[in-house]
Amino acid sequence: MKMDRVKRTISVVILSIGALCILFPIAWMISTALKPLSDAFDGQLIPSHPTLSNFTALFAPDAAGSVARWLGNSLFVSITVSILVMIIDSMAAFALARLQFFGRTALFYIVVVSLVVPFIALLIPLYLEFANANLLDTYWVLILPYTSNAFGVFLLYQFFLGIPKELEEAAMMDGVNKFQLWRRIMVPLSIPATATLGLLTFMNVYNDFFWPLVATTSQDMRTMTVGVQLMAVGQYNTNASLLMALTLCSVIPMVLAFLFAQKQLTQGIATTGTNL
Amino acid sequence: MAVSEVRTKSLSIHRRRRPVMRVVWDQFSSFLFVVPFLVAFVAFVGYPLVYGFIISLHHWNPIAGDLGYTGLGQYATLFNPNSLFGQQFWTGLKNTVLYVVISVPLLLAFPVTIAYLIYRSPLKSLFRSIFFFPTVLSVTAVTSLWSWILQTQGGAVNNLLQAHVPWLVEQPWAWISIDMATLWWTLGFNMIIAYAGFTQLPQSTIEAAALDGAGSLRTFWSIALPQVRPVLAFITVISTISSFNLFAQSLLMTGGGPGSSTEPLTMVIYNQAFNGMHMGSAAAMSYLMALILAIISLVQYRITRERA
Amino acid sequence: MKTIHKTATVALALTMSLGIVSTSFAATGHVAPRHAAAPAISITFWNSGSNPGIIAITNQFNKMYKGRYNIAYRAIPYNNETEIVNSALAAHKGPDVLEESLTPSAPYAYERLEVPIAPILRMGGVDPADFPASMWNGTQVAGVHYVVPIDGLPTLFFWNKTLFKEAGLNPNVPPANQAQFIHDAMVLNNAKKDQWGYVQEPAWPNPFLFPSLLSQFGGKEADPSSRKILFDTQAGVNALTFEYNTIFKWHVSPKNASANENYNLFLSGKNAMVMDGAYQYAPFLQKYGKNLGVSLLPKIGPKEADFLGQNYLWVMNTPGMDAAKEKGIGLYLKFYYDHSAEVAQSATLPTWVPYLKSAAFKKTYPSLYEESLALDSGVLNPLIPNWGTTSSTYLYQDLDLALLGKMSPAAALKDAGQKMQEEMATLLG
Repeated sequence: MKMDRVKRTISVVILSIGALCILFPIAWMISTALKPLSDAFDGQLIPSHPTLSNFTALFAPDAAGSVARWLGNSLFVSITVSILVMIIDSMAAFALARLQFFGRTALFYIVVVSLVVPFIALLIPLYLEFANANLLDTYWVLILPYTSNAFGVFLLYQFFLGIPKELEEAAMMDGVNKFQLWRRIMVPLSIPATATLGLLTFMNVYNDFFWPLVATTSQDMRTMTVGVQLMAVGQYNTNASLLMALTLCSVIPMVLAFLFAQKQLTQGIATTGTNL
Repeated sequence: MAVSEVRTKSLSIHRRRRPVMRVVWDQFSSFLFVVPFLVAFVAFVGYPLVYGFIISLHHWNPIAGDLGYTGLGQYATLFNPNSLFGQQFWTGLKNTVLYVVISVPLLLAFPVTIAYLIYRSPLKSLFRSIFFFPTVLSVTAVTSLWSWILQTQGGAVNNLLQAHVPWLVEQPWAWISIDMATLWWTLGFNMIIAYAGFTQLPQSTIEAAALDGAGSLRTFWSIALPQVRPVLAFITVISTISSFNLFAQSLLMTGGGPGSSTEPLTMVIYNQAFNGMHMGSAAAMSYLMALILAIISLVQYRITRERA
Repeated sequence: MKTIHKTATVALALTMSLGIVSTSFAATGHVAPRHAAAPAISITFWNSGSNPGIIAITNQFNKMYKGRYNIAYRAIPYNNETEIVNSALAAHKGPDVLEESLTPSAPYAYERLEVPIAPILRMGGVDPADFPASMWNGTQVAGVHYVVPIDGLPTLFFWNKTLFKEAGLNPNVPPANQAQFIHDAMVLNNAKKDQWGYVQEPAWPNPFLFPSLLSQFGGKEADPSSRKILFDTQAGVNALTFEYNTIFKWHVSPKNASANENYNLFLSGKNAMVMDGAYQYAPFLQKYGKNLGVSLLPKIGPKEADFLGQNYLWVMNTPGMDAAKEKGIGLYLKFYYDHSAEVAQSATLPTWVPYLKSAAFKKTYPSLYEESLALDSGVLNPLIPNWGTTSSTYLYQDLDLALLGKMSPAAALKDAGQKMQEEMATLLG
């Protein structure tokens, strides 16, 4: 018993040291956010002239576009993509894992191949595609390219492989068709993995910079990442305090999403790894 | 005479009557599940992939358009050690591979160890949240922050150490700095995955090991880790792919310096495409890079599959 | 039941939000004017970076010319202007008017994507003689002017008056030449207080400093017409050797300085002198106020010269460009230059000589007035396609290595020269 307690204390100590290493830069981040620009990197952890001006910049009417609108755009796009991806990938993964159809193996390998091509090779062709369809600077261009998510299919594929076949057979006996099988049995069972996928997709889309950068140019259609870049990163120098403050504000939705999904997250990924 | 028997009988009648139709309908309805994904894939991945490949077969300038067919010439240039583009490609590839080799083991070891420690300690929620937090930050904020923390004169770390370590301007410190910043930033992601793997460990196994007198280190190494091997394999593969795509940290923290020693392949491609306006050449580099990464991933996948 | 409930809620939320944002699903070229009266000619203007002076002036112009012209203003992030503009041009969805730094205009000119600017200036009543000579002369491509200067950013010399006083130097007299500079720097170097006389960073702000010093020694970066690289001549070696010596010979500058150190250390009082672009003026002034000294660069070389960071404006040959639009652009430019006072108000240096030489300017913006004196000896980058970006890949990387002590200055310039010359052969035009 005593040994146990000693061991636990040791691990808490080690973890605390690690946590301090993680928190050290964050402390500086918060400190910088509370300083005026001229003090930004003066090396003092406690700001000598603390100010909230970097945070009020969020609400100041900026002629380059309103921050609230950018935040709204980011949230809307991220949530929509997450929902679409969860549905599309779940259906495709289910089919790959459990159903027979012509070209199944070929499809699987094609999907995997798409994971290794760097985005920069696809950027211009994709951009031209949307330009020709006259869809630049709209929500379509911000949402559609993310809906093809091979990673998600792969993730859920592993998961569906792990669901016991007996459940499926029992359902077949009761005379459900494939769609009902998917919706009534597979989806509820896979909520942990799907929720994981949803959360990760949400984070990735929310933080994506390069695609929204080129795909939208009007002030109202900007996303948060590009907007922060526009406001805080100048031609030759970066307004570090403003950048830190804006970043801290823009991560709030993600932190909330993470806390909200804690349970699903830790439950979900366990089962996807088993059949690798 | 269960319902199932009757069902089977009627099914077999159907099978005898219209076997082909049934099979075709069966396959088609299964295929329908994949259609939404397929549509999105073809439209937003397949088409750009093919178009991009076609661009790589031409001299293509973004503002001047197509400047002439080169066939596989631009790929051939990359294998020519005397050409400027070829040299740049292999330097970039070398840097990328170096980075992958030094970062992936760290991105495996640290998160897994921390996940295990959290799993065996109190205050789980608190520690999980702290270690995960950096993952939600944007890359601009992370690199801006670390650029200052690692400043040679007056940076937070050097102030603490009372030294003048040239973190961002000399090797091997430059790679170490990029590694540190990336580890800090993405540690939480892998940690959460590993942690979930550990939650699957049957408590009884751990207790049995303790009763047998196994030290905690031994329990970790010989019992816990093998059980979560599939999760470890998964982490390795995704970390490799993402390390291969290193871009922003090099661009914003060291600028590819000193010289071009921390310039990864993605940066070379980016410079080619937008600053040099040689889109065809950049596309060729991208596809060659994709091919190399595909081979590496395939090998990794095979190896980890066998072990599991 | 619960699943249906959830699905329904999600569907409802989606529909509602879709309804609210449905207008943004339609592709619009710009935000339509509130009072949709007579069809105003719309001119799209992409500005690299969000410039409050330009924004204010544009709004005033739109108000004054309501119903006739409307400038649709968009700001794009500075560091990503290349990707954004080149992607848009590849898809023929570029803007009518673009404002960026000088050298990106060159490839567009060679590809006939730009409209000659002189006729447009005439239409608007703008006289090119009213531009600072250093920013107008030498910006032709094949003898034709395509660009006009919008604002200027000279390289200046800043010093910390308090540190000067403490070291026993006259705080109001900056070093005027190389010898004085070295002397002052050595006096200001104080190892005990962890204080440096000067901080020479290997990477930035060399793109401002190196061309300045190069010109002071009588050199040029390259010849635009023959595309011959000229920075590897003796003038270049002299310039780079000076920088090199501050670190390795006279030891007035720390080794291995990383990005932004000259700026951060100056702000924390650990660095006494800074040679950098005028964009540092505002933060330095905010911190030090009266204790900040500003002047033109000391004459490290025999000549007086400083590099001008710049923003230029040009008109793109978009499919919809016609005489009516060009007239509107001409009027806009006239409006802009006539309102140079607004530009100065947003702490940017206007490029309109009548205003720069006016008494009002000198009185209201004394610090900008000091800055404007540097325009007389200003030098620009050579107008070669992609010079800015390719030089950072080849030239400044080698300078970086030299200042880290990895290469000798002469060798670094020779290597950079070779690589740049090779790259020149692959460029447009």
